[in-house]
Amino acid sequence: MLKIKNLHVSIGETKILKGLDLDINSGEIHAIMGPNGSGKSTLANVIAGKPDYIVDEGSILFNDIPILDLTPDERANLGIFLAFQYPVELPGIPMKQFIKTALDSKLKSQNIKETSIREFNEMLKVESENIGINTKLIKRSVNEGFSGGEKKRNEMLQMALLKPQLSVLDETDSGLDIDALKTVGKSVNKLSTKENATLIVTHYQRLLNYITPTKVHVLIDGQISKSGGPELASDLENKGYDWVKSLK
Amino acid sequence: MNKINHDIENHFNNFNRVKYLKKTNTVDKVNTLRKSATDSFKNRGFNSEIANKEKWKFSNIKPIAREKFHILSNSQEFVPNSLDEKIIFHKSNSNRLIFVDGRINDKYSDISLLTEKSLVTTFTNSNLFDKEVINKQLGKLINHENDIFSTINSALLNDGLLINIKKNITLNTPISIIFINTNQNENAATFPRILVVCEENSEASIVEGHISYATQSSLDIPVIEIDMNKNSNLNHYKYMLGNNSGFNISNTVVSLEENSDYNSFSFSTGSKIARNSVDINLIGKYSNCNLNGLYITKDKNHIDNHLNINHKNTHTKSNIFYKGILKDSSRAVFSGRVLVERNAQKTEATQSDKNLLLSPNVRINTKPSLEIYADDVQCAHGATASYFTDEAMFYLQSRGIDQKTAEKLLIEGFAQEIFEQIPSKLVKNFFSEILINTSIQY
Repeated sequence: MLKIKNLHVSIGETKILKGLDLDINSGEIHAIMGPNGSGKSTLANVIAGKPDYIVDEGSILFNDIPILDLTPDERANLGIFLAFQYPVELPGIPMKQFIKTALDSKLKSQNIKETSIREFNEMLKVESENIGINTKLIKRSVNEGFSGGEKKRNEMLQMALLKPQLSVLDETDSGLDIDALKTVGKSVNKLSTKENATLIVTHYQRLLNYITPTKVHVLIDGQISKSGGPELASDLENKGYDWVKSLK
Repeated sequence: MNKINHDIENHFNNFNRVKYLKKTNTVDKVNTLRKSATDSFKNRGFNSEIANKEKWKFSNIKPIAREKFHILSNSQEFVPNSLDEKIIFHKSNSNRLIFVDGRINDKYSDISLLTEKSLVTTFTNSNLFDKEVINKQLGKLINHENDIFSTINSALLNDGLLINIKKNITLNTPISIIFINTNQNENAATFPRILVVCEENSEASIVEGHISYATQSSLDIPVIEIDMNKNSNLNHYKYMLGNNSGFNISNTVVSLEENSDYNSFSFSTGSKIARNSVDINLIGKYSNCNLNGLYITKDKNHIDNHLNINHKNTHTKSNIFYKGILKDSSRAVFSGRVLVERNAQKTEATQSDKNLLLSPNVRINTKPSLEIYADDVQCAHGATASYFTDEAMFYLQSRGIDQKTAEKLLIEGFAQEIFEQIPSKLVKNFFSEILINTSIQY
């Protein structure tokens, strides 16, 4: 589904990713782990199409379509979803309007008629309850005045409603309490099917207590230094990132 | 280039015709006001106004001084288009008076409810009691020596409108007054005049609309005088939908007695030159004003909001909250001056002007200022101008929303904060619909 080849990315003069390769197939959950500054968030943002980055070399194919020249919305409508590390507050834009516009954009790109307001409200109600989002938040502006945990739950709500083929979770676990962490785990597990895939970008192993990844990769200094099964995550937790660095 | 005109009769064509109409006006004050204003214009012309560099620092009025304008002598037939359905005949405008090219349009106006209670009348149709009010109040709050445009309005005053909210009356539905310049002649000029008297303990709302269909140069110089007595409350909603070729120079003057509340909301799209001057005098203690405004400009349009608030008594409050959205090569000016006089202790005053810039070619001059002569006051002011944040745009796009729709959401979101200040749900919906239905924004 996702094929990244020899990806080199920089911001300004600073090189961040230095030849990264990654293959994710349908039905898989991959975890990218790494110390601060290793390029984890850059990878997540480049897949989603954030404009600040310069791709110097390499390619990303999503279902065999090269996506590097596509705008973020075009990528999203192909089925890529990024759960933000720091979800953005959008004052004056009501939650419902935001989510419905997103949903309708996706349907429109597939030439499907948009959902009626009634259908949408029903879907929103069901998913909000699943994820444990207070209905009062639904009546507010997007993320405005939300707590850290509420913002992350809101990302999970959008993910559940948009049903992406590839979900990229950028440090979704950072700053979360155990309950919120469980919710994130539950959301990812619930959404995982044979047809879709998830890429979890994280510093810590703790989210992986709730989600069992197919593969774990360790990102150090812009390259994947080690890949393995779920056991690699616990090794890292015990031995630290210096252990991987020493293997290099 | 034409010479600057100093003679009002020369500056405005068909003047003699209006002068003739003047003789038939049965309200004495209209006649005396016209005469003194005409004399004042003859004495000063545009020169003294143009010389006032501080007042007109960012808005050039010379083109108005050089042009020759026509006062329309025939009533034009008004045929509403599909947009008018939305921007004029909204539910919120059910008590409405429509003026087309300076004349009241009987066909589309509907104020039977209000005339019954004798709350609204044109000067021409006023009864003896109304005439007494007009004679006493008209021009009272205006100083012709200070402003050439209100002088022109007074000099060329043909028929005005009196809104008199009687003592202890509470009016739930807004009174809507819509002025349309159809601009059937080149350089068509109108001079709308409204006198509002809110008697003690009265409560009302006014929607004041100015719509210009000018495709060639036009000039509108509206003046509204608002006299608020003790414990009165007025919500004043004003919208100005201009265009690329019109001039709209409007003056609003408000005087507030003890414990009265004036809440205004102004929505404007700018014109070739649009000036929205508001002068507030907080005369009585515990009087309070809230001025909210939204301006959205495009092309080469220009909007100049010029707000003056004088705190003249203790425990008075003022709040200015304006927001601007600027596109293309448009330009906006915000000048807010709050003056707290020596004896106006316990004054509270805040003012804020925030601007969203949609193009690198726009220009904003924003200047909030405080002049404080009392020592026990709470005042704050601030101004900002910024582009969309890249983060917000990326967040929306990452959800599959294309750039154009994302911009639309962000603009509406930015405007929303101002709309939330509108107390009437009906009017709030109306203004939101204007924002969506006029092609001013995207």
